[in-house]
Amino acid sequence: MIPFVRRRDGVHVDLSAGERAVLTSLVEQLQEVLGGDLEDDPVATRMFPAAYPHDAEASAEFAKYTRSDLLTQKTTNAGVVLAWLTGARDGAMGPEDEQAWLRSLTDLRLTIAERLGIVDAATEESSSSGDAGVGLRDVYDWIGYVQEHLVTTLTSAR
Amino acid sequence: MTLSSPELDERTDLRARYDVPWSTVVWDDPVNLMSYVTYVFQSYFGFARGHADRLMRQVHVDGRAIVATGAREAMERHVEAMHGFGLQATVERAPGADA
Repeated sequence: MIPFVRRRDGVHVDLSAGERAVLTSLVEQLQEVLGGDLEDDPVATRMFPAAYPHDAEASAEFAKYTRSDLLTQKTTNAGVVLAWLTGARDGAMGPEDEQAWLRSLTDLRLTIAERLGIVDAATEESSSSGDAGVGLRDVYDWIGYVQEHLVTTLTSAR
Repeated sequence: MTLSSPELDERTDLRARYDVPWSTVVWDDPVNLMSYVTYVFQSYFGFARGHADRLMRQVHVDGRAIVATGAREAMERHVEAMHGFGLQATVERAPGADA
């Protein structure tokens, strides 16, 4: 089943019940990560990269003024996606919904990539051929497909 | 009264320091899809498809690309926005500004 479909009134979520269940569980886990102690979570360096890699002080200053807004934004996005997955929201998505989906799928991929140890092309390659974590790697690839499909659907002629 | 007071010099220095251009750099990462990066460049910066696509390829091939240049504050806003999209972005002095 294709994840999204463009109808006359806009883009609709067209995931199957099983797909919705898998994504719901993942987004709930993302919410836990976002609501947990991010200081000790290496995924934080992917979600909130240092703005000045060679200047710790300037990076800290930047983080001070941006971190809580970004965290709120990511948490809100996850909540929006969850509402669409559970059926609390239905019909054609608005621009904010589309943005929430795109960004939350990215946050999910960043989180899973961290758990899989994907830091470059080589580790990306090895994580797909290894025995360990095959299930998670499949999920990672599937979310990539879902996101690719959404980008394509959003940029296709209206 | 002298023409150039120390106070004025200081102010001029300060202005010179803040006038040097800065840039927004987006870095390659193994997670973000090429189509998504192009989409972000198009939708956020308003770049035409071709330009956004060239920048995305530069990120992918060279490992990084300067996507905007200007005042430091504006670059920080761009970097914050890029982080909101989940892209790896940093602020740095624009090339040649380090004189």
